Amino acid sequence: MHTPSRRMVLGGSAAAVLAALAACSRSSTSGSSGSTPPPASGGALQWWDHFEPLEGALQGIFDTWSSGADGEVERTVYNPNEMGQALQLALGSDQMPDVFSNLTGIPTPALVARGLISPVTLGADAQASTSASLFEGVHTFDGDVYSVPIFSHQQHSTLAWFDVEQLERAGGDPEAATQTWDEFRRILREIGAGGQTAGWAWNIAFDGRLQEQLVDLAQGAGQALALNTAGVNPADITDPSTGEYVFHGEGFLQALEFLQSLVTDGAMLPASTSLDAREARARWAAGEAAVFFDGPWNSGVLAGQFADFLPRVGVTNMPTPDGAGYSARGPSSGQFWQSSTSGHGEGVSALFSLLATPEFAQALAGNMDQPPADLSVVAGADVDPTYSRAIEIFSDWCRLAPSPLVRNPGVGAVIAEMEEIRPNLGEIVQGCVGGDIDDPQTALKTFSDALAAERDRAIDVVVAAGTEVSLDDWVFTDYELGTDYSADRY
Amino acid sequence: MAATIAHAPGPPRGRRVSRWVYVFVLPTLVLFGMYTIWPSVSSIFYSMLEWRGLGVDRTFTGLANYERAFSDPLFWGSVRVTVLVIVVTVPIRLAAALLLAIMLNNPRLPLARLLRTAFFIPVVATTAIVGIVMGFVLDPSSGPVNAALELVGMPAVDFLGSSDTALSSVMVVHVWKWLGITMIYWLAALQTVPVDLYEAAAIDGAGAWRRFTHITMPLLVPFVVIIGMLTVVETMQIFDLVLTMTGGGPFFSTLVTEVYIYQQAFAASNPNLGYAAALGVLFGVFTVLVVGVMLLLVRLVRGKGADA
Repeated sequence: MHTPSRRMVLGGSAAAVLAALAACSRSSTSGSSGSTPPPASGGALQWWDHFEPLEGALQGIFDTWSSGADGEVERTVYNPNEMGQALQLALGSDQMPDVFSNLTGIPTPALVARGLISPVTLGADAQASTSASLFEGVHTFDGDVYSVPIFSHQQHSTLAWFDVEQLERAGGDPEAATQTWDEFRRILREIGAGGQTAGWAWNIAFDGRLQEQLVDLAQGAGQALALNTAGVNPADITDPSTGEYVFHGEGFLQALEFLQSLVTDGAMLPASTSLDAREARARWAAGEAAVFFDGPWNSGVLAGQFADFLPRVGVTNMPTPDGAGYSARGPSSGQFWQSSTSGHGEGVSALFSLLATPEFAQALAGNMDQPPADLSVVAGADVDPTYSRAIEIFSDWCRLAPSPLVRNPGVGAVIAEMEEIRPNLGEIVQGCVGGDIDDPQTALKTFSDALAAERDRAIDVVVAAGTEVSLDDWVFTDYELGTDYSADRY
Repeated sequence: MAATIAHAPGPPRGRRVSRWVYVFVLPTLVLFGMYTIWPSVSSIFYSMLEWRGLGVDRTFTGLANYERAFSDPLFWGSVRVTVLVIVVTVPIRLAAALLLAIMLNNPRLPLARLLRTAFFIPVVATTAIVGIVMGFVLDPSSGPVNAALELVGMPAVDFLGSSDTALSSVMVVHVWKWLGITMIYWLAALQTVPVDLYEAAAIDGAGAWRRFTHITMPLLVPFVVIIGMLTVVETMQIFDLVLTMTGGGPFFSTLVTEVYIYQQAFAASNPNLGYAAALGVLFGVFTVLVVGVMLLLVRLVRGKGADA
């Protein structure tokens, strides 16, 4: 047997180190293998988003575009929790995709101002079909189109999804589109009294969803709100009559008391305290609870993961004090944006034009995720009856709120400058129902005041930088909850 | 004396060997520089920026992030929780692991190897998976722990969902998860105690307790501080267990500093990498201070041992 000499071992080791370094060098520059994405300037068009249920709908437009163009799309779907981190890393290493969904936490106007996204050129048909749904400051800037909304603003996250059998046993009406708070509490108490099933599963560990649900319920209790977009971020939500933050207002206090009453009634599944939305949904679908608050996407998730349970499910609007409460969201933001580093401008423009076609909206409805921008296409789509029902409820009870951002895109710079206030709204809900906060009114007032002070500071900063913005941009004295604040009212 | 010097082992060809020494040290220096020095220096630089982690917008703000940290109640709350975890779990781990090690070090104990393996298995289990599984184990609705409590007529306990019990629950799981590694440290330390001392003491009529207090403990004292230091540093790295078991909640009751830094950098509605870096630097300084104090203790103990 040949024994290698020390020189041979050293030489071999040096060669191995050099080979490893060379391999590292290759992988960091070509980006064509492993998990490192290639640079956006060449090769396939890179598309990053966090909308896993949209696989079928997006693949349809990718195929349509690929068949008429000399190119292909490589789509990467991220967990929503990881999308922001991925974009942070991609920006830091000049490896931004051509198209991305904006989970950066930065409002769109700030993305434009920082030169992170670039405009697209829509085809004539797309321009015509989106003319009423594009808002300056949200989708267009200085007249240039940056994105098209694919989802409707007519939605919320607090639909009451229920096990029909359990609801009927408790004397509830599964056909009712709405319920009062008193009736809702009675039903949950009745179900819980049986001892076999809890009345209600909740996602207390998911503070983001908690704040959405509190905002929805507060509107249902009559609290009119201005919202910059269809998303729910406390910094974006103000009292339209004064422009102030109003989380300590009567609607919010009543909504919080209502949620607390469900807990003190003993209606809540005990494990809810440590469940996020996915876990709470799974517990509910497994029969541990009868009712679950969620958005319209619940139909799609159930169809994919709990298909046996879906036929036993019904849905009503969120409960409100009198069973007739409206909710509203701001204009639906665009979901996809073109990176300013993209070398596929024409391809991205063509793909964004395809996002505005009825065929895409129809395919989108088929996914049973967030409702498509044009709700009317759902009627002709192959969807579960619960999804159709949810869309009917949204058509009847969800409206378009005024948006300070649409009035003055400079508002976006203010929001981008603001630091997050903690405990945030969801954490305050968590603290109140968990017994960590004894005085909800004081906690909410402190939160509103802290947000107001932070906004004042942010306004000073952006005004000093040359942006024209003032508190008057947040005031909409002519708005009433239950009406649409359409583009012609700005 | 001259003969001793002449025969002392030394480099036969000093200058060539010293070159090779540098060559062999080079990879360590390069890797240490890349993965320890450079990130540390970068963190200090980032901590002086107003930087969201997105785009090239970076504003130098000097010590503003540090000023903010010193007046941030959530940061100090997280430091308090971290210190509480250290103060409670480290002594428990040290004592329980020592007890186990002494028992398992007994050559007459049956199944000693099997038991050592059993206590060590949680150490090699992935912490994130342990955290998720423990969420099911401690579930107030259908978890086996609460089922057992119900069997004996006790009310269900919301171990992870109540701010009264969440931190205690995380600490219990943390101690269970890492007990095995502390036990291995103690077992290694116990191998340094000469067996003939025990034999001599036994001949002199010393019982098990006197052998423990007069032989084992005095000889283990130098190891207490070093094992304690390793355990403290491990305890400060509790990020993955907390994130998977409670995410820092409910209502900040388990918010340790590592999780708070992560939230500022990646999970905030408006991420702030500059501020997160400042928090990271402060936490690093805190870690160095703790380790520094413990190293001083090691020297003190060793100095006293040498004097004795």
